[in-house]
Amino acid sequence: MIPDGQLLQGYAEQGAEEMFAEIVRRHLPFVYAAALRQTNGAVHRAEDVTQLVFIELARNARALGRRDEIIGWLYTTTHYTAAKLKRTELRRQNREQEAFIMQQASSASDHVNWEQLRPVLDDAMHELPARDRELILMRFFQMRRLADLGRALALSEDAARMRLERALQKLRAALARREITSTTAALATVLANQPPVVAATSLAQTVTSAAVSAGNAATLGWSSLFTMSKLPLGIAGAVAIAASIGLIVQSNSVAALRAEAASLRRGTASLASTRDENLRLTRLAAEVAAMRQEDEKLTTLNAEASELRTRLEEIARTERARATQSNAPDLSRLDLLPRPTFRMRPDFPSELQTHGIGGEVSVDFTIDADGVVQEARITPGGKEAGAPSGVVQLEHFVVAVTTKVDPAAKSPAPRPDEPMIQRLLEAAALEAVTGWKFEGGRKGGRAVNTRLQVRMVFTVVPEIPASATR
Amino acid sequence: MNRVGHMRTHRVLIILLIAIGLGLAAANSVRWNEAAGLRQEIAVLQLSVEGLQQITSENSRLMGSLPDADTLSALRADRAAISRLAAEIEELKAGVRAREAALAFKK
Repeated sequence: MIPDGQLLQGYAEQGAEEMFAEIVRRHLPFVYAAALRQTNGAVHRAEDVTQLVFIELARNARALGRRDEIIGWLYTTTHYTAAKLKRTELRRQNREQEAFIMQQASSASDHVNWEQLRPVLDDAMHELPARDRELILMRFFQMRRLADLGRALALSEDAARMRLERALQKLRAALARREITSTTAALATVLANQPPVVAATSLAQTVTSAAVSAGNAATLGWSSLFTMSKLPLGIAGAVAIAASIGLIVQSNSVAALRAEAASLRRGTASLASTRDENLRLTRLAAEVAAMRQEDEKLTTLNAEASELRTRLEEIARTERARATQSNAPDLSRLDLLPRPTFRMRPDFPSELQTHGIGGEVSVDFTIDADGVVQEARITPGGKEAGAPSGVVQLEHFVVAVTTKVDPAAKSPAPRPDEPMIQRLLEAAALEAVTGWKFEGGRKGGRAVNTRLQVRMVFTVVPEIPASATR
Repeated sequence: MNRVGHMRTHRVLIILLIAIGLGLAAANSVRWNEAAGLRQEIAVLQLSVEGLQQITSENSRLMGSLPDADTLSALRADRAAISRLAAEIEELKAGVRAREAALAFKK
């Protein structure tokens, strides 16, 4: 006979349903009987309990496959499963049992019968140690011989008998606590002669199929992944294909990104040189702005330099005039006064001539030893100023021009103002005097410098046309 | 092939497919990281390109605002002239002061 453990192992690893069916066939009567006992003979409830126990066995097939004997597990599981179902009825049953026991107690004896024992037997059994319980189960519920028990428990037959005796004593004590008194021998007799329970044939089939399908569902894990045929292959294949497609898409995306990055890198290659150029241009622009500001300053500086140069020239003229003045001798001591040899006539300014404007200008100048005019300048104070001492006053030099005057005709240009008239006359007078020549003054037979002054009178003589006189 | 042999074949196939799937997932992860790095680099490069465009535009504006080479030379010559003029002005000022002082003394 193949041990239970091997059958379960075969079922768990290979899904061999026939092996599980063999286990069901082997243990169904025992489980059903236990369930029937624990459900107080309720057939349908006992069938439910039996089915639940084998479902649980299928679910735990791999773990239980390591055991040689599973009867203890079946028994315990049957008990707990039945306990769950009968929990709601337990109180009522207990009351009924108590009433029954009370009734039987009146005729109590050392003899006990199965009907007394059945309601409390399983509770009492579960008070026993597991080893004792399994011994009683194998001996009285599977009807195995003592020699067989000895082999299963690795004991001699005598030792198995002794242990069975002790287990029965413990059971008797447990029953005694439930007010069922008996001797060990009587208890053994009742247990050995318990009425047989025959499970319905269809129950085995129902239980097997339900347990196997439930077991398959429960063990659908890593191991079932390998035992199922098409589904995991399909799922794994689909996942691999999806991952491949993702990889291809991702690779394409990465290639596009690489190309874009390369293009951008090329585009930014000139960034450093452009930045340097920008720096150079910014500096140059700042330099130009500064130079333009300085350029405006240049005009001011030029004006200032020009002013200073003019001032220096004035100082030089003043120095020369002083030097000339200091060199000019006293006129009263001159042997010979300077005498003009050539006097150029000033050009009458045409602007004044047009408007018939005249005027007077006094020019002060020095005649050097050679008779050349030096330091000619307009006499400060104008025509009202007289000749200072030591200065020879020459006769007035009259510059007269004749101009045709037509009172009816309009002037081509506006009349100049007084300062302009004076400037024009002074310029003409200075230009003419500068070109004059003299025979120098002499003192002690020696030519000396002489200071002279001349008043120039510019006058316009109008010439009235004949048509106007008529 | 008996049932056990069939099961083994299935098991090998499934393990093979799982291994392929894991390999593909690893390769995908590498590609994903690379793509993330490239996206970051592209973002930085795009900023650089924008910066380059701005600098180029600024350079064009500066080039337009700068004078031509002749004007630039003239401005540089003016700058040199300013230095010389400043020195000359100082000399002139000193000369004027000295000669004015001399005139005042002689007066």
